[in-house]
Amino acid sequence: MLKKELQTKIKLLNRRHFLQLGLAGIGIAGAAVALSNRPSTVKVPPLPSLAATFTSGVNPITVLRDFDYGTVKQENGRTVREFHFEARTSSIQLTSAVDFASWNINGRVPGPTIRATAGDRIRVYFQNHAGHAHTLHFHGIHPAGMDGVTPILNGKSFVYEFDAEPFGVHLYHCHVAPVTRHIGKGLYGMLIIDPPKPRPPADEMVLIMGAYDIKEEGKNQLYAFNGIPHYYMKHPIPIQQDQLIRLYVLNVMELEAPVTFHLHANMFQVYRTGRTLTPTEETDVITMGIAERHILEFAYHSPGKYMFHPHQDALAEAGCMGQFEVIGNT
Amino acid sequence: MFKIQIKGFFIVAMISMMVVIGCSSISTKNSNTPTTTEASPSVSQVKDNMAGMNHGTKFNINTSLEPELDEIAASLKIDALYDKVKKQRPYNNLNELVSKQVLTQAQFDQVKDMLTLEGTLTGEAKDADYMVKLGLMKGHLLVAKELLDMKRPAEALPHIGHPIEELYVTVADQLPARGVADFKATLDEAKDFIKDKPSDPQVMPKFNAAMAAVDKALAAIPATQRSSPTFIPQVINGLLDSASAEYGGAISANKIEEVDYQDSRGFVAYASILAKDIATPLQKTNTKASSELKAGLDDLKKTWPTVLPPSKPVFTGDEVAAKVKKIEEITKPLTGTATAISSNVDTSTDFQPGLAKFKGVVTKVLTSVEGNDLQQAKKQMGEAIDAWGAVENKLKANKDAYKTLEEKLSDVQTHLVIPPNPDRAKSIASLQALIKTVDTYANKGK
Repeated sequence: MLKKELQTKIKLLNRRHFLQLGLAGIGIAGAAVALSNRPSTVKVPPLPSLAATFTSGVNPITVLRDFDYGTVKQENGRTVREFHFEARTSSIQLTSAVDFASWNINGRVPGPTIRATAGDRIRVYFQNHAGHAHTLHFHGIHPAGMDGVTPILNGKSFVYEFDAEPFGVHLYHCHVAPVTRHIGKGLYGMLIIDPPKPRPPADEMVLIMGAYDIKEEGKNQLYAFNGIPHYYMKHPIPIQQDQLIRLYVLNVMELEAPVTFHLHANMFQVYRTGRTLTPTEETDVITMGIAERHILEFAYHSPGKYMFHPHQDALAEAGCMGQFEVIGNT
Repeated sequence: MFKIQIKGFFIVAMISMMVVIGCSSISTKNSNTPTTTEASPSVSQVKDNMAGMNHGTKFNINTSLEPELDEIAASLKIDALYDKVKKQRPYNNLNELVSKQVLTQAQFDQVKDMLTLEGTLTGEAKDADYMVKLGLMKGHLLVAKELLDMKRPAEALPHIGHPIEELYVTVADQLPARGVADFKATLDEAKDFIKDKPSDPQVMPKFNAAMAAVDKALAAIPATQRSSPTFIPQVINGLLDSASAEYGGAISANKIEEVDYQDSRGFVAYASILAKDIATPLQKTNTKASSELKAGLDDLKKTWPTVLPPSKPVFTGDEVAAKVKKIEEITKPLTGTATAISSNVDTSTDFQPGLAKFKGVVTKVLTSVEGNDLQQAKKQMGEAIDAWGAVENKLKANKDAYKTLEEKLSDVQTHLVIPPNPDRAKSIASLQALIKTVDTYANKGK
């Protein structure tokens, strides 16, 4: 019944998510224009309609292309982007056997992907309802007072405000000791700062490699792309043949040696930390220590399924593995 | 930490507020059109200073002094705002500024992000906040002692760690004014021994010194206040709020997280000690509350039968949250002053502010539809869904409100958002119905 379907969809907090579902089949003509800033020259195959895995109503498929540009305001001729972040606790079903008590931003792991253009003002209203003291520490360039290393107690709030500098791909995470635990529990996310002149159109996606120390023994047992182990193996990511793909890849695996991201059957161009506008190398494996992040670009020219995973195969098989499904152009 | 350099901050705050209020505030959610406009250097410099120095603090409507509020008054062009605000104190939540007719909804919306019930605390509110923070430290140490007595130093370690990592820095700047010597080194020493020399005979003396230091800091609050049946309940509530939040985060289907379980046990243990401290005076002033408080805490304590977590939770996170809420319903009326010291009241089940915001956006949508700008209306619906998302969880406390509003919102979706060419009349009708439904819940209290 259409009405019931809609009621379910309303449960989704995120409007961007709603508009994305529109792409999947409801057929809102206007949605393609309204949805993010992806030009119509970029072809993205329809997304599967999947159940939410987080309390925010999103799942890893929606997290992929969910860029939060914030509420845009003009203050004295300047673009200001405002975000409302709430640290909460909630359970995530990581596997059929494992339910994990996460600490998260806005009910999802990873937290929302903040996106701005270099020179914008970013303003994050941070409220903490997650029991322990937490902070938001941003990577990038900002004054010491905005560095997010002073604990914000449960029930308190703080406004982080700084200029979006420098362009590239960055991250944010809680910086209360033990940071290993605070990141491990899920308090992290990506911060993308676009260069003043946008990069060429591409199908852009976020992939964050994380790990879970389920038993709190100083060792990880499960690993994941974008929060849920094995998810993109079970639900391959549809991408279009010949379409330029731009991945924003980040490693936040605590308690591990650096991991080597690998893409099957292809080579990718590397833009290290997103700090260049031309690639610095081409390869099919790139080693990333924790908090390292890069932009990787590639295109597939023949249909089929292609895996991606850290080449530390035990970690991959414990959940940090996924597939692209290249849809033919015929 | 958040030192207020009064003069500079207010000038900066006033300028930035006038900038915010003076400029048109365009909310365009999904634009990322590259910006090349330049900010006027002086304002952006000023804002940088603000960002580096003091940004992040807000004006406390219960305790702010006249010069602070007058900056807001000037930008809103309200005469004698301070007097009006002061007259209606105390406020239990920010929205009372509107319901008590100190500000209109529009004025409130303009400045609400600069207002709080905490932050620049003064007087009793500040004392209660100080005591909550030290009470949390004390709770941690009570649990640490239990574990050390059981010869489990590795498990005790996080409980000496948390006071240092999460709490000390938040009270450090108050200690000199309260005549308390810095005691971080004492805490650090206890931690060093527990971590790296757990079997050393110095462990217990060092630990006891840490506990004594926290007790000394607590004693900076005068004894009369510490046995006050109007002051102490505020502290109890702050401790219970943290206990509830941490315990909720400790529970998953598979297990109980030991550290967070123990933290919350410690907080409730100290809250119980405080309740005992005021039991006699409270019994004299309010016998009913006194026995209800004791009964409530005795029931709550069943959540933590032992210092090591049980194999299955005695109560779920939601059950504990409900118990804490019930206790707070007993203690809040006792306090007689501003409540919700350590919890930001905006996060209670009060959905009024969020609902008001939602109504504002939906009204904009209706205006757009009436003006035949259907594309604009669709875009604004996106904001409406975001506003819905922001208030949704709080609305859920009132099942009726939540269900009815969701249905009405769904109708709007059906008529306005889904069809490529929406029916204007049906869209208007469904929007009006939604707004009407919002109004029925808007003034019905929490």
